[in-house]
Amino acid sequence: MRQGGKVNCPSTKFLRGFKAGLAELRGVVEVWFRNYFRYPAWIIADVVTTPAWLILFIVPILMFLPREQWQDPGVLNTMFWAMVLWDVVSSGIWSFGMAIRREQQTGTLEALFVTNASRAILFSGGLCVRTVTMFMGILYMFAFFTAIFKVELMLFNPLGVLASLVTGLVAALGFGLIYGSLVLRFKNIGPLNNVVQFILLGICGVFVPVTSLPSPLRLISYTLPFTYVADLVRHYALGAESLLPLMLEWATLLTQTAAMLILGLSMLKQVEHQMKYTGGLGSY
Amino acid sequence: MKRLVKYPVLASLIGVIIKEMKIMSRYIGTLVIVISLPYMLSGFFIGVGYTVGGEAANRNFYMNTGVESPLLYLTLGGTLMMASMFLIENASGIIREEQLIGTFELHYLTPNNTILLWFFHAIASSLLFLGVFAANASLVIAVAGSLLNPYEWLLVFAIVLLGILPLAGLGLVVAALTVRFKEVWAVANIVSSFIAMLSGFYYPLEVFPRAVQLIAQVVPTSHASELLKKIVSGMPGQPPLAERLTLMAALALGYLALGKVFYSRWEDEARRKGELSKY
Repeated sequence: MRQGGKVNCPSTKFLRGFKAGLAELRGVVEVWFRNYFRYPAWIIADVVTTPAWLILFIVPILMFLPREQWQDPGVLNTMFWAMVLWDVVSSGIWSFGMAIRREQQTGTLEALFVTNASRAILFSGGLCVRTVTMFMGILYMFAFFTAIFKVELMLFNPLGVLASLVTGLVAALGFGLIYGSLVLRFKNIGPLNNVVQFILLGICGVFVPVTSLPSPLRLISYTLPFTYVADLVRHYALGAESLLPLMLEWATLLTQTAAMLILGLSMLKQVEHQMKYTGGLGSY
Repeated sequence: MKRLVKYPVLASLIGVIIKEMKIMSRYIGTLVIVISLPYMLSGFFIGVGYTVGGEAANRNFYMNTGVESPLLYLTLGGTLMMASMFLIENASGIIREEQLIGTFELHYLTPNNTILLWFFHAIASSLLFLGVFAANASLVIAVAGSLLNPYEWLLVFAIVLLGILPLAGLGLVVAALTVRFKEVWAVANIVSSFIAMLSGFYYPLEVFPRAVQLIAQVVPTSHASELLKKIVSGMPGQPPLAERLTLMAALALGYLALGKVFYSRWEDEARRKGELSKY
């Protein structure tokens, strides 16, 4: 859709650079939100099933504690924030990876690839929807959580938590770009989403601090930005001690997030180029 | 297959099973996930549980569940949960899926009873999960250092079938009620998540208030889950088996009858209004 491309889209024909990107983003977000609101039953299902999932994922963990500790605010709050972080970590996988797959299945992927719009923006619309639904989800999860487990939510530094979650979503975008390029390359990797998601949840210390992991795994954890996102959320929400001095931890998180974005963008570009060269872009 | 024409119902059943197996073999990745997800979830719960429970984690688990091996308890629960979710989703989405791939009308051109045909799809899924359950149970039982005798295996299979097959009836109710709104899977998701919550796959139902425990009594998988864990883990204090099996059989008949009533009503109305092929 940028000027210079051989396309006939009058709405963005005279745009270039940042403005073109904005126009693309607006179009993509509009499409995703329209799709999202087209299926209201899914929105209702998301809200209605929340208490069931909270119970299904938190109660089994409580089985490892003595009964008198089942209402321990520290443990329950750690679980609550872990459920929120789960959404952040998996957002890149589900929204970005699945966006490419969905376009493949609906037969519109080729149409998108003949435009000169930014591929990163084209497939990141799902993440925008996910961001909105995630913050809405935190609100109703909070309501259900306090009603079911009868425990006060701990939130020492709301701004710190917000900043960590937003940075986590940017990191998820970077991870989504990498994952999306693999989806583009290997086509149907749907079932792998679950596997990757569980590996990330374990290795990034979403439910328990990475310090409790065996040392070889911890080395991998330290290279992933989600580790620091989880740690910072626990620090700001629960007052837990951070892995590194705060400034250093933020610097590490931002550097890794930037690196992941750059890597993701270049991988997507390279895979598309290679697939065009071998003719594999339209075969699946 | 020609010889089976004498027995058309049997021929349909075998045909559906072969079809479903062929489709399943096309999606090996899904099959791998179905088999491995219970282990992944067990590993996840055990990892987090040991971290929060510390040295006393195993003892606490035993005190709370009555089972010594968390791996055994959680993997069996997870396998049953996968089976119940898969079955509800499949049965609920059967009409919509056949419509989407364009084969729905073809079934109505055959002399087969459609309700029976959809039920056969549930049998095919149940058989698949019997295999998955057998594989997962054998492994975790072996790891726990014990074995089941042939009678116990037969009992386990009967309980799994009595636990998960009735859910096909529930799926048909969802299918009949939601096919017009084209969002079957969202409703199936709600049903299956609450069935999972009320079945006590990962915890004893005593964690719930009395009222919720009573509601859970009408969920067949709650009985299956409790019986299987007790039989497989060799826990003392078995619940009265004959009574439970009778109750499960009654629930199975009730659920399937409910599915038949709802589906027949939808089908009759759809035939009358010409909606069978309108979507």
